[in-house]
Amino acid sequence: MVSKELVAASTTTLVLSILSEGDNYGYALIQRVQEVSGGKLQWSEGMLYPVLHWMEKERLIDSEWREMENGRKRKYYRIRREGRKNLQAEKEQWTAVHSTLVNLWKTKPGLT
Amino acid sequence: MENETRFDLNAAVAQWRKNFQSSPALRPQDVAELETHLRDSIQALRARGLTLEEAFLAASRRLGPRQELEPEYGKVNGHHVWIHRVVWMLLGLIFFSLVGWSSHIITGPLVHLAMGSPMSAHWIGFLSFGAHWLITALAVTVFWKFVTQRDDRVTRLASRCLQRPLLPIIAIVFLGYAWQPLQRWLLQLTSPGQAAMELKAPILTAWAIWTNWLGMALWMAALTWLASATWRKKEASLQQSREHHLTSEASELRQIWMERGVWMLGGFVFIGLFLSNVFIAVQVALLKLAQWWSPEGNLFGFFAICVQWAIVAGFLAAVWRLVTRSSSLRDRISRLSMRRPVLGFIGLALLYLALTFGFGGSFRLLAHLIPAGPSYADYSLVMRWMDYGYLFLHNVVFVAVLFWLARRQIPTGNLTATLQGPASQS
Repeated sequence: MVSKELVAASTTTLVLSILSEGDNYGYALIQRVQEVSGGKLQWSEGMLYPVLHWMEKERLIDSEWREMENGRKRKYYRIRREGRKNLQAEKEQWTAVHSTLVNLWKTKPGLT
Repeated sequence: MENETRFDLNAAVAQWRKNFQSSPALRPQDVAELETHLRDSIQALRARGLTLEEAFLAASRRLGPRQELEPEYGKVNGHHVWIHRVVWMLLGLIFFSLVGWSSHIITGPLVHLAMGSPMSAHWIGFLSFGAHWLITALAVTVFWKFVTQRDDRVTRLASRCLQRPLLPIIAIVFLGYAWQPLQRWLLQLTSPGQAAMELKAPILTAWAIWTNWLGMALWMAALTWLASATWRKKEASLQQSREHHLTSEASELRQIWMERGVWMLGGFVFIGLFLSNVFIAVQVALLKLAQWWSPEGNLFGFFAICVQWAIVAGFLAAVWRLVTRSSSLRDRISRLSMRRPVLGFIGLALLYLALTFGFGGSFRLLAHLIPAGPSYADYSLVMRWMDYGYLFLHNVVFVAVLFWLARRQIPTGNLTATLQGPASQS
């Protein structure tokens, strides 16, 4: 299980990564993260929405209400150009952290 | 399986929705978004073999309790939250003012009647103070019972008032203006005569001054007590929901109204009591100035109102900036005063004294420094302008702002839609 702090720190990057695959809504975002992480990464569900709204305010993503077949509406989020740029920068940073850790652990195999 | 037939999903979701809608931090569209999530989650859990009731409970638990989501939403919708609070503050100002005026209409003539009797002036002063607070407590109790027990009627009434605001506005404005002439007429009717007036009026005036101070202390004590009690209740219910205990509907409703009550009382204490103090202080200085420069009573009256309003607007703008800007110091102070209501009360009282003697005092000093002027002409005309100016601000401007903000905050179309609830799931 990934710690709360790390989950919080990675939320925007995860959201941007999933939205770069295509437009999506909140519930599906959570499902996707669970699926890809094999259940190791768990979001407290309701907490995702304030983050999404904050990202919208920061103009990283867009949102629109779309009607479903049963007449109810669902809010879809879409990544903006700003968001893609942000994702690129985040990608480099996370990769840097990742490769640093991997290299460190390679030299000291006793740790793992 | 028995449970399955008895459990009404739409009713349960409606209850859940109502709870979330009551939070100022969540806009209607936020609640709608969470509801689609809840229904998606229920559907997925049902597919895994859970009963309808189990699926609903698990889904709402996973989504999180209102008390836990509120602060997070509040960070994004901060502006929205404060407008909501201003609405309740203005409502509180109007409500408590109306209660106060009604009480004066009853107690004023009674005091006059008592002055004509052999009763001692000290007794009259004491009883009039007691009667005023008894009437206030009674009105607050009736209001509390009504809103916490007749929730549906309150919601319907509120939506009707917001959809057709003209009639309620006229009614409030009329009440705000009508009480003074009515009181004057009743006081004249019950006038105790010259001899009793001369004998007892000075003692009663002294009583009025002291009970006025005591009354302010009581209002501030009520505010700090209610705020602290609300905070405790909120903490307790957050703890409860974390431990997955379901809180009852009545308890949630009480909590919501306690929070609104805090803002209503806060509105009355801060806007009402503080503002009237600022107004009176400015008035003293302006009237002194009028002795030097009173070309025409009406012109000066108009000028005086403009000055008063500009000062009030500046005062309110400063307060607005102070409260909407996030500040860790302010958060720390408010948290401390919630935990220690006695400290909160002392802080509030000190703030009041600082305002009264600092802000108000500087104007009084200004009035003191201006020497008495040669002209006393049109003094009453200027006073009348100022009285009407204050009444206009209180009865018309605040009421109009209240309705405007409330309608903006809760779009009326949306309100009826949310009252009826969305189409049930097919």
